[in-house]
Amino acid sequence: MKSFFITLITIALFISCGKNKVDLSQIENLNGNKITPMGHAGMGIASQFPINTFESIQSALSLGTGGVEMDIQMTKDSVLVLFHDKTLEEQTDLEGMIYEKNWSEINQAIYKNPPYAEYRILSLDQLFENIKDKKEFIFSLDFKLHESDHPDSYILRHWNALIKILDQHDMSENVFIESRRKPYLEKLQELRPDLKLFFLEEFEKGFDYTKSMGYYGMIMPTTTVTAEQIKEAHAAGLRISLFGLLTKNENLDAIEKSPDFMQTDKVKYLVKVLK
Amino acid sequence: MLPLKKILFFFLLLLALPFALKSQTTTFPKHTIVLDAGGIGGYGSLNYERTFFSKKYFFISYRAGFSFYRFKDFERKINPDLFFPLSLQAGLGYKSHHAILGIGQTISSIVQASDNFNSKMRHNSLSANFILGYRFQKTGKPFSVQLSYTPLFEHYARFRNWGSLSFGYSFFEKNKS
Repeated sequence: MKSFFITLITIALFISCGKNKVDLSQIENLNGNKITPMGHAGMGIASQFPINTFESIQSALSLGTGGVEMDIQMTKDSVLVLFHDKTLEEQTDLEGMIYEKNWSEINQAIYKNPPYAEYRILSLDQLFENIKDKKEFIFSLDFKLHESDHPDSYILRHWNALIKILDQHDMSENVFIESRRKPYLEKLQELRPDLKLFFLEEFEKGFDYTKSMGYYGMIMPTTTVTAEQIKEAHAAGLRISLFGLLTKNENLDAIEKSPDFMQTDKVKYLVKVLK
Repeated sequence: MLPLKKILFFFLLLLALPFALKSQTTTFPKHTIVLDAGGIGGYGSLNYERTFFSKKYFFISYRAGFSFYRFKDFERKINPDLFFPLSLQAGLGYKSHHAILGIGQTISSIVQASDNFNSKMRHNSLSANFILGYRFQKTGKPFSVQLSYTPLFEHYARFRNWGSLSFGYSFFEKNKS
């Protein structure tokens, strides 16, 4: 019986140690053969900090990530704010949609969780104003468009608000723009060809389009792409950013595909592995 | 700032009650260590519960606990968020089954960004709590389990529906003759 348990423990240790080993020398990409770990909406969805809050983002950057992904929406009075969900009540004590309210109202919202804490919604301007050493990091902005229709004037208002903030804080070099909507990206490329645009789509559906538009790269769920496809993207001059990295194994599997950027929910773990 | 008058009043209440209700013959445990999942400590807390009055099917106890969310703040400095749940509970029991009713206060001390996000601050506050629960504990046995509805009135400003599952281990004193 004793030997049975010893064998069992040895196997468990062997498995747990073996899975954490990755050969970083095998990484080949357009990011200097290194993968930049990025926090998904800050510290990821399992963190006690609500996603997209100042505390969550600063925590991820302080841990040693190369940047963070953030969800962006626009208020009625054209202020860009960090918020993921369609309705405010899903996460905060306010009700309604971001685009129905002015910043003065959104500014009062308190995140529901965790109990007793009072984390607040942050504007993009406030983030760049206050985050420490911001020029050392990458901020990947995922524009959430929950409205039903998007006339040209609305798209223009969106991008003008973004451009104003980027210029004001001199952050154009440090920002990636993600969107799954082609007209949005095309308009921004027309306005500011110097910005780094990422088309959010599965590889097979989006590769030809992204390549033809000359964007900076593609972003996609890690399960929808293979190492060979990422190699093909790199050969076409496209960077690849992966998300959907919730578990340790998903992070390890993604590293083996040699992407350029990884937006992880296991922030601490990925930083440690890629060190 | 903490509303000090409220805290002082609550502590005085806890201190005064044992003298007002002199302990009588009891079969209820005197001391219990309780591990809360959820509850008035937030996501969980470790508590000490003392029964200071009991009579036949009825008991009154106070409980003081401790909890924290994390050791490091958002700048990765050691600077934990702290919670001190305090409560006063009354129970009505028959054999192994007890109905619990209680009120409480939780002192919370949380590190977060300042209002304009340009600095770090520790936000201390007091919140009111209520407890309505069912406890199962076999007579004379140390282990107990309690399921409770524990709504929080956070910072005396926001109401939150909340609950807890508690596991207790009791220490009995010999019955007085």
